[in-house]
Amino acid sequence: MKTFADIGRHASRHLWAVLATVFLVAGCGGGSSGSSSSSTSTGSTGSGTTTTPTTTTPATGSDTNVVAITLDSGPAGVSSRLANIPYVSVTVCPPGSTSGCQVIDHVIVDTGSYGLRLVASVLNNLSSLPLQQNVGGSPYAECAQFVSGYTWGSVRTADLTVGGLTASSLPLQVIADPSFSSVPSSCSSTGTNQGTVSALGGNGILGVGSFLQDCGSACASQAIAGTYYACTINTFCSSSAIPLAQQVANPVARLPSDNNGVLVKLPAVATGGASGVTGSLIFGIGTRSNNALGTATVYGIGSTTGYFTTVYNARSYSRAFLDSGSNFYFFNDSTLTACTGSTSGFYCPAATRSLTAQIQGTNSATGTVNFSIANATSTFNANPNANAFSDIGATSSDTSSFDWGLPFFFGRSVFTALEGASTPGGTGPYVAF
Amino acid sequence: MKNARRHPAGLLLALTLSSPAMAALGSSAGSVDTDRQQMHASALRSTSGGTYTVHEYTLDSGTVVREYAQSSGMVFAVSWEGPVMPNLQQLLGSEHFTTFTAAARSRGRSGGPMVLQQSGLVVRSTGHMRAFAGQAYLPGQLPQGVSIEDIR
Repeated sequence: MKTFADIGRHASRHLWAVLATVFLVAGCGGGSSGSSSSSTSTGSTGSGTTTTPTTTTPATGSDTNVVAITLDSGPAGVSSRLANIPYVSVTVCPPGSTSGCQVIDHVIVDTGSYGLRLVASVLNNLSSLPLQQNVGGSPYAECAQFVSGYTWGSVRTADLTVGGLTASSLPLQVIADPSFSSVPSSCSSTGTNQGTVSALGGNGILGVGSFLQDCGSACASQAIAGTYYACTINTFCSSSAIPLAQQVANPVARLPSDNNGVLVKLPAVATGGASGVTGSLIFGIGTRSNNALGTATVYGIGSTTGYFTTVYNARSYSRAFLDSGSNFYFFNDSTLTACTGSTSGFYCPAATRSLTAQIQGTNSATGTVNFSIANATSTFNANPNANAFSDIGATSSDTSSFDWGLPFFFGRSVFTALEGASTPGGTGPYVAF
Repeated sequence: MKNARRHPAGLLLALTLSSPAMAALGSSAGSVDTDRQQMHASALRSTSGGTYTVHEYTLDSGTVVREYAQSSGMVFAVSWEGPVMPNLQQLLGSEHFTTFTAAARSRGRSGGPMVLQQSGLVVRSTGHMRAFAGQAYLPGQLPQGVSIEDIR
C-alpha cells in the first residue's frame, strides 16, 4: 500500500514541466499566422501561402505511400523545448479543388487517436473548407477528448494529401475555429482546453490509430455529452448525434489505396538522446514491397479499447497500448527511483536499467520487449539540444495502464492495422512489430 | 433510502434502484443522485463492503463511473472507465477540478497519462481516445484497510 506522504507541494509544476525548466522556455509563443517553418530537416517546401500543389507533401523517393517523419524542436511560434514528437507535413485543399491548397508542417503522427485535427490559426483560407452540416443545415462541432483535456472546434471537409495519396472530402476537426468560439460546458467540464499550437506541441494531429472514427457508432445513434454538437449560426451548440460518414474520420481509411493500416519506421536512438532524427510514415500493410509485415508478429488488440496486455515485473497490465503520440514510456514501477524536483514524475535510476516485459495480444500472441530506462534528469541535462530520447520513462501511477510511447518505435517497424481491415496478417485491429 | 446489506468481509452485490447518495469527490452524500442524473446515466448499482460502499452507474456513452463512499456517506474516491471522459467538473467537484486543470495546463505536452499527486488530491487519468480510465481520491480519507488498488 502506498504511503500518503506529501508527494510534492509543487505538484502543479511537476511532471512534464521538465520540458519547461530543463530546456529553455520563454512561455507560450504567439500563434503564428502561417504554418511554414524553415527549421525542418527534410527540406520541406511548405510555404504557408496558398498555392497550386506543384509542391506536395514530401514523399520519399518515388513511393507515393510514404511521407517523411521528422523529430525536431517543434512548430513556429512554440518556444518551449519539445521532445519525442514525430511530425509530418500534409497538404490541405478545398474538396475537389487543386487551387487554394496549403502545406501544413509539424502535424503530429498519433497512433493513439483517430482523425485529422488542425489548429485554425495555421490555416490561411479556413472559409474555403466547407462546414460539415446536418440535414437541417446546421454545422457540426466537436469536443475531442484526450486524457487531460479536449480540443474544441468545427467539423469541416477537405482533400488531404499525405505523401502522394489523397483522401477526398475528408471530415476533419478545425481546432479553435473562430466561428465557433463558445465552448459548451459539457465539453469544458472534461478537462483543460488544449486547442492551441503551444498546448498540442504541433500545428495539428494526424490520428492514424486503429479506429475508423473518433467516436463511432455510439455517437451515430444518440447525442452523447461531450462529443458532437450541432450549432446554430455562430455560437449556440447543443449535443447531437452524427452519422458515421460525417464524423471526423481516420484519414488512412479514406485513402484510395494502401488504406488498411500504417507502418511507422524510425531509426534506433542511442542512449543520451539525438537530434535530427528522421523516419517514415508508410501507408498500407502488405500492399507494397515497402510495407510487408516480414518477420513482425501480429498482436491482436481490443476491438473497442485498442488495449493489449503487458506483463512486467510479475504484474499484468491490462490497459497496455502503443502510442506514437505519447512522448515517453509511461508505466508504474515503484522499484524504479523517482526523480525529484522539476523532473518529478520521471524515473531517475542511478544507472540505466535494462528491463524486460512481455506483450500479450488478444489473439494469444506473445512477445518479449527489452527496453531501457535511464536517469531522466541527467539525460535531459547532458544533451540540451536533443529532441529524441529512447530510454526515458515516467510513472502512470495507476496499476493497470502501460503506455508504450514513442521510445518503443525507435529501431522498429511498427504496424497498426485498422479495425475490420483485411491485411496479410489477418483482420484488424492489431499492432505488429 | 434503502440500506445495502453488509457483510463483514468482501463485497456483496446489492441492487438498489432508489435514490442513494451521490456526490462529487469530497462531498457528503446527499439525498439525490445528482451526479448520475446530471450525466444522464443508468440506474445506480451499489455494492457495500465493511467500510465503504461503491456506487456505480453507466453513462450513455458506455463509460462506467464509480463513486466510493465512506460509511458516513462522504465520497473519498471516484473512478471512470470507458470511451468518453465523464464530466470531471461534476465528478471531482469544482475545486478539485480547478486543481486538476491547472496542473494539466502547467505540465506541458507529453501525450501520456495525467498524474496529479498532492497531499490533498490524487488524480490519475490514463488511456487514449476512445479508451479512457482514471481514478481520483483524497489521500487522507481512505477508510482503514482500503488501498489505492481497490479504486478501479
